[in-house]
Amino acid sequence: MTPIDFAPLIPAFPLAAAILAALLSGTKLKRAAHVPAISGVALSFFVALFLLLKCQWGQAIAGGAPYVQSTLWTWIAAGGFKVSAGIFLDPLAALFVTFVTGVSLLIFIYSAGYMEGDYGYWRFFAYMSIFVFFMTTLVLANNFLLVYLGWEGVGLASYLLIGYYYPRPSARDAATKAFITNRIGDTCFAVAVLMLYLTFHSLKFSTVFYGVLANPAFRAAHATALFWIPLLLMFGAFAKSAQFPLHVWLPDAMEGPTPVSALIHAATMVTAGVYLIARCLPLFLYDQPVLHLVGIIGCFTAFLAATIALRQFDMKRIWAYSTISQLGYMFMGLGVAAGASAVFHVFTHAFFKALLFLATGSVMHAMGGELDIRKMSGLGKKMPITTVCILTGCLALAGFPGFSGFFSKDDILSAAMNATWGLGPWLAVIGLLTALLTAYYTFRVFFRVFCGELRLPATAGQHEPSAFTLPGPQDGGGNRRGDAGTRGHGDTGKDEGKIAAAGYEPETVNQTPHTTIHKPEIASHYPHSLDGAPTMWLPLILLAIGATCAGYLGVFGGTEGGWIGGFLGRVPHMQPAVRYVVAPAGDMYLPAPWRVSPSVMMLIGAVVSLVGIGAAAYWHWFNRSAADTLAGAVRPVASFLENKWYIDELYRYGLVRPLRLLGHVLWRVDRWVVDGVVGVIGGIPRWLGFSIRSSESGRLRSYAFGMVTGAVLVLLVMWYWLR
Amino acid sequence: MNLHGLLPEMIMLAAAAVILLNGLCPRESVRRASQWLALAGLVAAFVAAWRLAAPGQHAGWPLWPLATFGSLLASGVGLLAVLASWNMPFKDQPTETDSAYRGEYFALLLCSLAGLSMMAKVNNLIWLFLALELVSMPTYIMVAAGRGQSAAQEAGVKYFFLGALSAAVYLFGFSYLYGFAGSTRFSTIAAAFHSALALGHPPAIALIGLLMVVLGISYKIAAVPLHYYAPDVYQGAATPVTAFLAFTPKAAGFIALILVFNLTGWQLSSSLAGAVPALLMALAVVTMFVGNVLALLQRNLKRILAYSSIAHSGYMLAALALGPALSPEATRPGELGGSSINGLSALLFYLAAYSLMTLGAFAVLIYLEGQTGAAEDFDGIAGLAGEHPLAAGCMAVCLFSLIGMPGTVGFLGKLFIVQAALAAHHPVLAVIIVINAAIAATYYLRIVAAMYLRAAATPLTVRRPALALKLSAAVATFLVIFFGLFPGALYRQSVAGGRSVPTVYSAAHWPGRSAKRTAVGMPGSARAGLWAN
Amino acid sequence: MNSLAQPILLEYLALGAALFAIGLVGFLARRNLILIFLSTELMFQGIIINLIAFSCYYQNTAGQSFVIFVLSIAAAEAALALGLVVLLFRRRRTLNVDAWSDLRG
Repeated sequence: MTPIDFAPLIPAFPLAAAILAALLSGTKLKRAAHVPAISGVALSFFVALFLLLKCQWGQAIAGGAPYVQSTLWTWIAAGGFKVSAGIFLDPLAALFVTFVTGVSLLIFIYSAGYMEGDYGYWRFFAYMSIFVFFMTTLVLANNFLLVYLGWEGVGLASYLLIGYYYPRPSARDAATKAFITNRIGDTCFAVAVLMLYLTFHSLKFSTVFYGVLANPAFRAAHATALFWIPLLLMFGAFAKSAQFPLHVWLPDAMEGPTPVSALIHAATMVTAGVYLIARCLPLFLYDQPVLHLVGIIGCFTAFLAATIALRQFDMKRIWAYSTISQLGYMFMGLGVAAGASAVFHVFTHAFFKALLFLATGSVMHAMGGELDIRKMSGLGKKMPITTVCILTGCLALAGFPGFSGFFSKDDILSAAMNATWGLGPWLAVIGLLTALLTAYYTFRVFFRVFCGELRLPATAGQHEPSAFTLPGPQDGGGNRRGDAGTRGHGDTGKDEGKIAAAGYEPETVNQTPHTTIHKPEIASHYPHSLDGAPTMWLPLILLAIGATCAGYLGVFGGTEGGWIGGFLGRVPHMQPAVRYVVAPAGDMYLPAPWRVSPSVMMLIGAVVSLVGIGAAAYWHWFNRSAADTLAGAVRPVASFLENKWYIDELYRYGLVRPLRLLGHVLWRVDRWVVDGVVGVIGGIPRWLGFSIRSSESGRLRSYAFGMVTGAVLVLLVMWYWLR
Repeated sequence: MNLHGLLPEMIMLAAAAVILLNGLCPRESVRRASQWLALAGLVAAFVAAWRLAAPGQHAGWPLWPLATFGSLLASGVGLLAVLASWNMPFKDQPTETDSAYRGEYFALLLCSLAGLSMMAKVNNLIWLFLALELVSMPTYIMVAAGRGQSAAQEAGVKYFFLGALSAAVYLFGFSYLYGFAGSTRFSTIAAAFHSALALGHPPAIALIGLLMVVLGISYKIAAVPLHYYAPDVYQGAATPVTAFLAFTPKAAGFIALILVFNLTGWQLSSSLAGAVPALLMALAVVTMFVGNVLALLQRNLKRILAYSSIAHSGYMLAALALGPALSPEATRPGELGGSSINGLSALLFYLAAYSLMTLGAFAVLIYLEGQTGAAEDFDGIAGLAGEHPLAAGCMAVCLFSLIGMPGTVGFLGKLFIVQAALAAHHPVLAVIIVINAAIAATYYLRIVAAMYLRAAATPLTVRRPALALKLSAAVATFLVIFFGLFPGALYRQSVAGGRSVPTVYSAAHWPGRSAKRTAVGMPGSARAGLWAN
Repeated sequence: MNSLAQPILLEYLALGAALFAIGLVGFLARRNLILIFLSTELMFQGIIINLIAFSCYYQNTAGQSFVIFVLSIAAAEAALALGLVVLLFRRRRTLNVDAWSDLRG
């Protein structure tokens, strides 16, 4: 058996785990649903790691070939159209599948502690396992249709998990929003798949990327298709990866349980778009305008989301916007053809963003579901492990020198700066500005929540109310299930109308004593550490180690781009970024001149990061009242950012309302015209039935009479006919 | 054909005799073995039929694939029917079983199946008559005695007396066919039809005989104009008997009709008698509409299924009217899709499909009767999905198949008939079938909606139904899906059966034909002269 | 013989058809279950006359053997009918066929 023969096990284990977890639902063992889920994903991770090691040092991919593939079985055979299910293994897939399963494993372990006692415990693990199944299928597939299956599958899992707390209207709405937004991208992707088949007469990666595409005559003959395919793929990727203008679903997706936000909406699923474009980079490289569009939109999204994150108060939402922003960086990297850098950033981002979300989950757990950064302060003393972990994550996200985010972000920026494309340096400049904002908003959260005097929200130490609590007499006066739904994990507790009225929200709201416990002696009611169970903080520590060290894989172990660069560089279109430029004709691998050397870029990046952190320290640790003053001074800007650039409103008035109006009109037409016609037509059979019903009188003699009459009639008709 | 070819029927009849004796035993525990004996007999018959269906058996008998199809159908679906009527017969209360008459019940059931099994093996009008009566007579008793209730007796009296009337009608037709050909042998009658059709105008006595036979047998398949009894009888009879009625007489009737039309060599449309196929199509269309529009008005589930049974007879009658002729372009044998299926193959496929899906639906109704007393109307099954999700699932699958949803065997059945209609250049017929399927969807979906969308009016009380009953519903449902997805085996049998029917007259198709036995002392010219006008 | 046989055959056939028709009318007109059954027997007799007539005409025995089977089936039906009639009479104490019309629609 060659190593690739083990690859089908990677999706198979989580699938089996999902089925097992679902089967446990009806039994007494449903509290043990995490056992199959964790075992399944752990086995997958070991297989994936084995494959990765075999790709690097073994002969998994024989003799310098860019990839190896296997066919499992014929999936669809309809006439000439034949698609097989199969595995496509190259360094890109191996790296992706390893970190996907690895991060999944840690998050699964965390979830076992975090979700303990939840009403839908088995459902949670069944959904999560099915997600890992689809995600690994997506990554390992050897053709576009199988990728599409995984693509839709992760979308489904995302939908189910966002709406996990379905009794809450906000969770249902968020799930619907995510699903509908993703449908736009999925439709584009589906059309792209159809066009791929029409163009290449195959959906296999090996045929599409490593076949006729290199032939200029073929490209000239299919110029139109080769323009539209990358464009449509791009929209598909943008919906899945929450890029402008389809980014609106991701912040709302925080309605799901926090581990879901960490796994699906930060570390893995949202990077599927990056994976898709990285995988299809050969198509993009021959279609430069679309590639540049990817870079421009990525850069813009990174900036947009970073500015919005400046003025959010819900921790998970801040991380959600940060995710959008970081995904923007990745697309920017792809846009300058630096595939390896983008994937490197995906890799490091998976660690530190998962870490940030999980640590936030721990905070939320300890604070009884509260996430408003204005209502808590000084938690560092109460949650030491969580604080150290989240600090690591923040440093990585802020690009603090020496942490993983620093190296990967810098890689992308220096690739952009040195791209042959004229706009590249400008993207790099905006990227640096975004990095400044990133450092600021990241440490704004950290300094506010974990530094300064101790202040806990009123709900601290309570178990957050379950969304599944049914109203009953035992709840008494403390029944939290109001008409607005219950507050639980991820409940932002935000009142949009209030923001709109005030124009902006004050950063500090310690004037409301009923939500804030101010006094240290009451705070000392919680003498024990609030870090939670070991299943929760152990994964945090492991992720923190990853967030610190993952970056060095991109520095050491290889000449250019470190080990990752060398490893991914075995894929032809994933050559280390700065050398990878596209000449208009023919050769794609020309050496590019340096504009700004990577070491200089590193220095600039470090300075930018330190400035951002310093600013955050001033406004949110040492002199918090100054932040309000500042916000008051730039009130319109603050309000603009708090309202997320009014993009949701734009959609509401520009798209949703007109569509609803159209729908209403169509409904009227349907109701009056179509239903009327249908009603008349549909009434004919009933009328016929009524008119001949009397023939079934129940009397034997009339039946006999009917039979004889009918028979005689038949004979008479035939008689006259034959005459 | 030697006696070996009748092995399945002999096994069934022997099993019937043994069961009859077994049912006389004073000890209840022994009488309880009746079902097991019936099961064993049918399994043995199925195996025998399977062996007889092997290629090369009875090669000289042209209709042999049709005959083995009938045997396989009878013993295979019969197995499910036995499972479905495991606790039969009922006493006054549908939940109380009356083991004293169990032997009779299962013996009658096997006799009826034996009649169906031998239907396509007959080569003589007398045999055909006997086979038809062998199918019918036991069912008369089963209907009347199946349930000690007034409704069952009313159903019995209607079924029996109208059945006797219909028997008289087709027997009258038989006597004229005999008079036309001078022999009761199929070979002779076919030869006579061949020569008469060659003259262009078959004699009136032949056509009257043929029409009366068709009319009389249309009672068995519950087709217009002899359909009146069906709803009352289906409703009144005990549900296991209804399930049996929906399948056995119908299958027997259609095979008999194939045999009768086979006598004409399927060449009627080439002569002035072309009105006969046209009449058949007209009857098919009327039957579909009558069944479907009357089913729309019903609330009793068994009555709905009875009317739907009439409608399905209409579809199959349409397939019969399309005849065995293949469209010229269909040359690739054995391939799914395309237009390579002829009307008779479509009919046989539909017959098997209909048997499975209707049996599955009735099995769920039986299950519910065992559970709740009588779940005969919409209120009785309201909210079924909540309390008995598997039963509701089986019912839903069977109903979807009856509608003709893709993925079920019912879809393929309708598809083949429509294909055959299009291949035979009868697009209007195809459209009418589709329209009827749409009308039918209304009342089937109403049942599904009652099960899934309504809350239970009264809580369904749970008693322990026989495992066999659950098994029959589950197996029927499984087969509905299985043959819907992998129709290969069923399709091959149907196509073999349908293709075995010759489309061109040739004396070689009629084994056992010997010149000296036909029309003794009657020169052909004199016979022609006798019926010339 | 043929010249003689032909008119005789047609007369026999007319007789058979007449018997059949009389039975049919009786079936439709009578209310009493036993009489209705006897009407079907009359129809069978008409068929039997047809068969015998043809058998004589063709001078073969097929029709006559057919008659034997028809008679035996008719006998079986008679037994069935009597059993049924007794069953029905026990329940309703009447033989009027119209008493049995509860199932309808």
